[in-house]
Amino acid sequence: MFEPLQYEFFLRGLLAATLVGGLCGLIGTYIVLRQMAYIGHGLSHAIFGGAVVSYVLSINFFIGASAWGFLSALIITLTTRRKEIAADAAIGIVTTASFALGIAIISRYKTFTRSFDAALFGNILGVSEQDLWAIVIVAAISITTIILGYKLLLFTTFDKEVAQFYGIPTGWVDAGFSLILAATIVVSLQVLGVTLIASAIVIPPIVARLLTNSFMRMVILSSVIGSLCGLFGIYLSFYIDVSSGATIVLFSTAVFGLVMAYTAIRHKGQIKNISNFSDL
Amino acid sequence: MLHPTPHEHHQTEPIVEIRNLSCGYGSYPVLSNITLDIYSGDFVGFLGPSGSGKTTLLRSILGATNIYNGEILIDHIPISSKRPRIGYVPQLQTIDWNFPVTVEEVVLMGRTMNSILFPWHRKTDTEIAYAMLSKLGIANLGKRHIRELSGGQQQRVFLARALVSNPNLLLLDEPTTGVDIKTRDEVMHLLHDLNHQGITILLTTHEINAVAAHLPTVVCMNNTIIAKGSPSDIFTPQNFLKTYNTELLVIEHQGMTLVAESPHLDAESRTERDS
Repeated sequence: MFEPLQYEFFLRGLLAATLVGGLCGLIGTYIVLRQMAYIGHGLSHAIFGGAVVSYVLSINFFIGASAWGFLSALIITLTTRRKEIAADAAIGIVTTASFALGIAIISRYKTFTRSFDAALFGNILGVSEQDLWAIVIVAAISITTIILGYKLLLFTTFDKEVAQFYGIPTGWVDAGFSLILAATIVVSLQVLGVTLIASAIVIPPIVARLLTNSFMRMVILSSVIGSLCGLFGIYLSFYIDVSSGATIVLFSTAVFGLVMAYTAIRHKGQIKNISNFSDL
Repeated sequence: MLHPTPHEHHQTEPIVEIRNLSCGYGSYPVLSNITLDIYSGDFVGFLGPSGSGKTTLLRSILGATNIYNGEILIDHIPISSKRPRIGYVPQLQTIDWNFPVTVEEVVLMGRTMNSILFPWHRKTDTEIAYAMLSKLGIANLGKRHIRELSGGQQQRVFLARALVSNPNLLLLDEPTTGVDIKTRDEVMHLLHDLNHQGITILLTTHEINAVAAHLPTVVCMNNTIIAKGSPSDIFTPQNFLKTYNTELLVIEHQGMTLVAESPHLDAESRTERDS
């Protein structure tokens, strides 16, 4: 069981997967409850475009891609203020355009196509010390922001329009959230890749939602589930020799299936108890 | 039966002043030329067909529409310069009932701006929230999920959220839409009690007999104000014709002015009735 821990690359990957899993689970709670589950998938594609542009302009990947992701998230939020445009449509337009821009630049400069394999499919065992530090910093900033803005985020997520009537600065709350969302996706790219990131953002909060009716418990549960899926997923990938990103996603999906079955059985049991009670 | 007796006015100054207001959304105008004064302790119902601008008027008071002309003052201060302390209860139909939130968490939302520097709600906020829940008779439901409540209890939760911020003015958007008769009576009695405790209440409604007829003051509107006054003064066929573009029969029943809702008639019966 401790065999893989003797490899430094594995230890870094394990830490990265656990932190990224927890971070995506935390941010994902707000994403899922805002019914914007598609944004994780879309924004990771948009950030891919930003990563390519950063490369071309020789800007630091983390700074360039985060700024690009933040800008995309902000444009999506502003676009959805128009009642005629639904969130999924806005995400579809902004993020695919950004992704297409990345593809266009890659096709123009074919020489560096291979450098983006990790961003597309994730390469957890290639996580460098610099990547790990970036994850730790983003996790620390995100957790602090969410703790400090807990009440504001809850009200804005529950009912943005009414929150505004009660004096909540919803524009600033949205902007702050977009910033930590973009940073989370950027640091998660190396671990899970553009194509798999959506599941890390969506599955843990959905599992947590099945288990609780309280917002605070959902936030905590989702973060813990995300972390554990990252931890066990990467361990499993070592033993079954399958891509780590894919194993984390499949492990999370299995957890979702099990919790879904458990809650269905529990629900059935409750109905049976009620019918037994009414028979008396 | 409710008692259309408003809370006694001790102030002669209006709490809400709407002057020549024309407003809407973007470039789409909804209300034009609205002039209206609401006094402290008033209990006013806005009546009109769908799309007549009832909700838009409430939203204008909350500063959520585009004002093309005129102004709104709350306590003599324009709403554009200072956010007024207003309690707002949205239509229950707009609430996401699957959102994982307990009664306590919803009510505490109303205290968010009272302790913005604290990440969590303070003990005093929780005490205030439970005192309000207790006042509204649902303190025992604090830990329950909002979906697990009856219609009347759900309305009380959102009333509690509005009241914990200690507002001078309470706005309710169709508080009785989609609820059964018992709940509707519960809600209306509760609002009358709050009004008698001094809270100024403005609400929108579609229910002429069940809600508007019981209020001390009603405003009939159709993109502008048609009439304002007590139901017995303004419930006239002429005012309803201007408001709803249809003829409604007005009757007196046990001292109340009501609208007689006729059953659907076929063409032959309509001709017979009209002759």
